[in-house]
Amino acid sequence: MARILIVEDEALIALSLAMTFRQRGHEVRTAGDGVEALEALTDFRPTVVVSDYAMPRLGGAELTRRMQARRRAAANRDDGHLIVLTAYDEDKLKADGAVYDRLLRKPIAEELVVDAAELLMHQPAALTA
Amino acid sequence: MSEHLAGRHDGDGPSWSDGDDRRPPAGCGGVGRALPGTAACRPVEDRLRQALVTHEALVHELQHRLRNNLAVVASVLALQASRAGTADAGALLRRSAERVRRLAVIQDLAYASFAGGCVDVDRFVAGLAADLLPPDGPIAVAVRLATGGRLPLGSALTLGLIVSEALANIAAHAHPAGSRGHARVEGGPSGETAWIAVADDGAGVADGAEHGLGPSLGFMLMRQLTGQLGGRMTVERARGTRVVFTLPLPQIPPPSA
Repeated sequence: MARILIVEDEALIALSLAMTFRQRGHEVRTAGDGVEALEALTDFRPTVVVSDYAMPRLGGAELTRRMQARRRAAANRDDGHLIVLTAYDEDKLKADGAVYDRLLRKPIAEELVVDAAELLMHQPAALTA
Repeated sequence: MSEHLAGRHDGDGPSWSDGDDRRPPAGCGGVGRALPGTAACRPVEDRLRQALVTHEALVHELQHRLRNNLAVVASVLALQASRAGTADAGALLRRSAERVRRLAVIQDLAYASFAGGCVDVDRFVAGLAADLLPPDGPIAVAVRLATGGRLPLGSALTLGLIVSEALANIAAHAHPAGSRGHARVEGGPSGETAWIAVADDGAGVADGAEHGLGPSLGFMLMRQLTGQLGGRMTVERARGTRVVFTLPLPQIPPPSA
């Protein structure tokens, strides 16, 4: 079992993802935007973060940069792997300078998101620019 | 009609009312026929460039919103599947969610193959094959397409639905889970029409499936949509299944570079 943080402002997408992760035995917390996600990183200590990109308040591009900065500020901090789950294509994220472990494009079957997370959670975190 | 198009005077472009700040300076384009790139034209060209950037950003944002909306619809269907009273009902809803997700792939690939007002059919169908039967999956697909066909966007999206149903059928039903197989996507011109065939070496389909007999919704959709394009569908059964679509595919010349 792993701790999964789902960052998603579309409530129904968050719900269907959370349900699928729980069915596969994982502990799940959800956040509605990047601000809530940053708060959850400290007390929930996720193994994998699955984050939307276009979100209110603090979006995915800034969230990925903040996670990267947290890792650099404390070498042993482990915020978990980051999967960006977005309708944007890779060119857009590269242009924004986003840093992530895996990009998955919406719409995608929830089971495939869980598969990708389970693959990552057995690897050491390597969120580097 | 826009007021700026009323009373046009040269037949090539809009006329401009006095005081309109979009009016090109004297000596530019349709007014005085100055050459592009000259100082007189530069403000208009700058505005056109800016409009193009804005237009492209808008199209990208609309595509993003469309994909996101399709993701929401697919999520609702997945949630509904989890609450279905029977396993069959759950499976049907999950298949519906998968069809919604495929719409996003079809839209993306159609726009990626779009140029000069039409979709390059060979490029579009090859993209669908690569996406729905990926190289790292259990079905190895060989693509040989030379229809030379080009379709308006709306018709191309319909063709995408047809071909994606055929490919999804192969992915889901041609081979037992976990076993490997082969598929072929081929096509070529045939007089005034063109043909596209999607074939596999799998278990085969039930007799009459293409006529709506049996439980296959996929074949019914393919048949209806092929008819919508003015074409016809035939199914050949020999060492697997080969579905052939014969379609009126205009050979519209591609835009010049």
